[in-house]
Amino acid sequence: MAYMSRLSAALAVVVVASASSICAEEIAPLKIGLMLPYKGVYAVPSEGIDRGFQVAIAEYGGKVAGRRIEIIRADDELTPNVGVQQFNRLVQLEKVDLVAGVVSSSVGIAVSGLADKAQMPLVLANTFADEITAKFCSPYVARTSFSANGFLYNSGKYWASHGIRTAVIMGPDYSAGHSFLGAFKRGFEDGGGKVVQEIWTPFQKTKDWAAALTQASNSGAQIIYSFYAGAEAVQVVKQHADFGLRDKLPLVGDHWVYDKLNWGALGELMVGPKFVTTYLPTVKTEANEKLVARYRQMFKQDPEVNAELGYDNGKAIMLTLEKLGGRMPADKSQFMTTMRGLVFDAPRGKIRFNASNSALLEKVYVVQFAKDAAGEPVPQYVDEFAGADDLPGCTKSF
Amino acid sequence: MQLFLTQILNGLQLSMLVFLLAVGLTLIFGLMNILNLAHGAFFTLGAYCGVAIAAATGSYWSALVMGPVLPFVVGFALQLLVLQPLAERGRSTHLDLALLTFGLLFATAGAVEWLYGSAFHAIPTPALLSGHVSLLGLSYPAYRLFIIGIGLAVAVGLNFIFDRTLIGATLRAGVDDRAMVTALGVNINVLFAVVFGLGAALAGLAGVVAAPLMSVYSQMGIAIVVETFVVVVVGGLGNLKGSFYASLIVGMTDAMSQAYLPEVEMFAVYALLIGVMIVRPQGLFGRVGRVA
Repeated sequence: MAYMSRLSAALAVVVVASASSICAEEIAPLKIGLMLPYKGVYAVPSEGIDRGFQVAIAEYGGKVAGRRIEIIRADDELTPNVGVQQFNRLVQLEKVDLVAGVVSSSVGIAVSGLADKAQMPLVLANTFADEITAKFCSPYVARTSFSANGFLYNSGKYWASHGIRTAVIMGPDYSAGHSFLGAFKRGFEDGGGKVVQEIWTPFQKTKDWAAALTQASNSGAQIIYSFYAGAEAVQVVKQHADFGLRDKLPLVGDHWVYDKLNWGALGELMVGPKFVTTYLPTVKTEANEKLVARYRQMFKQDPEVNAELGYDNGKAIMLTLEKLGGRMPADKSQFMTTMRGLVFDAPRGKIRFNASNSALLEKVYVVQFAKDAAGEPVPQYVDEFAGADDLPGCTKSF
Repeated sequence: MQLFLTQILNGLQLSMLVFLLAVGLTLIFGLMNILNLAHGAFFTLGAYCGVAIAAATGSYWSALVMGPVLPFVVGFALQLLVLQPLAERGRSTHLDLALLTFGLLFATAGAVEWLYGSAFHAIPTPALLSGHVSLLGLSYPAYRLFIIGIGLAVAVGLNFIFDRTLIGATLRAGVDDRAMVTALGVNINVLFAVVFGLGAALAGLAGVVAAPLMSVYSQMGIAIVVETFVVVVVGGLGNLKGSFYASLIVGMTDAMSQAYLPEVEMFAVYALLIGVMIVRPQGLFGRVGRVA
């Protein structure tokens, strides 16, 4: 009898074990829609983000709580209406569990409205416009990067306290351009500086900055402060040098104006100018060294700012899913509540979220590029300061 | 005043770059009536060839000379082996060609991206032209003056070929009465293919010339197509001189609106197009009676 019961117990264990292994195989993979502007003027930064995202997933062996992660990519073409189509395709046809990525703030604003209606978690990778987690905030939308104000308000103060009294601001005429340069202007003027002129160039349409640069050089300001990325950054930096303004009227900006990924196109022009960045690949922290090692192993190069942002995006999603046991809760706002509670060490520093699901920036570095022995650009540490808080404006409670 | 003078130079430089593109399209679309949306693809091809040649030889000048060769060959082959046979089968309405060449435009962008990846490229400004020139009390990049020079040289050269040489005369005759020219023993198919190739080569030249100024990437040709068509239509279809003047008008409108009325910059060129279409539908310099 005792023998029988032991046998049946053993049998039961076998049955349960095999049933659970069947179950594990039967659980469909968890699908993440990754939406980025893979082509066009932001193609290069998008590739960096995509790679960083892959590293974060690979760190977990592509699985969370035994459940496989499947990435489904979509190209939003940097255009809100295409972003809307792609978002709907991901949700309705591909049946993804959540959507990640998104670079352009305009696309971000368009799809966050959809995410809110569809109650679909949207974890934004870039989309720095302040209003995304303020005026347009939603319990279903989070941002793992930072807001324009978080990054550039204190940058404005920094330059104002380092001998710069007057500046021209110049940037692309769309939501992120206005957010970033607006944040700089507030900080710069609160710090005692004065913005003497604002120049806005049509986004994605401008090829020639001659007119803008001529106006800037006639303004009498000490610096041009600008925000540009991708192909536009290449053109601005080159043409600024062509007009011989590098000494007379330096072009100051951030890690997108002087993006390491544009080294092939700009080369020597990137050596020298100081700029602000959120990520320093040479920082000696455990989180950063892990990213650098795996990134080198997977892509035979060092990560840079965009890759780090993609990594943060993937990492925040994986940490949240881990806490939830690899399952998307029936009430998907719980996914966001869980993410909002995360505090983790990212390669850029400690990441925590504010009450409207926006990740905050622990610190901002001032750096400049120098060439290493192999002739590769390496950002050199100059200074650092804390990131600012986000602008208020979220009226929903969640 | 200084701003105004610089803007005149900026406008001129922009006009000449636009002209290099528009004059090729004028030959192809305006004169031979082949709706060619793939014109931007030749611009991209030329720029990438230039990047490859400059990287291999280290010389901007060999890139400038050899960069347009591939666009010429591709343009020549496209006309002779694809578009001409299609025309003979009666499949060359504007809609047919729009579909075909629009597809080509995107296929080229895709092929370039497959080969080169999505990174941005550039050709370094040649040492000879990397300085500044003092002109009327302002300092202006030498390379931009060089662009103005190239544009003017191409305008003069084309004008000469078209008006004063046998090739030009044959081409004009071929456009007006194809059967007659063929009867006189001219292989009109090859001549048309050469002209198509020439138009493509000019777009390729524009690509190389623009490369030290702008970033070279796979989608660069797509954005430029619409503006080029505006110039061709404003100038009057098939009118070389018209496309020159129209390039000047469009380039100047763009440069001046950018400096003095930035709010209307994106709209200004199209407003001009609408105005011209209402007042002179044949284009500012077009002859009456030709309908594209």
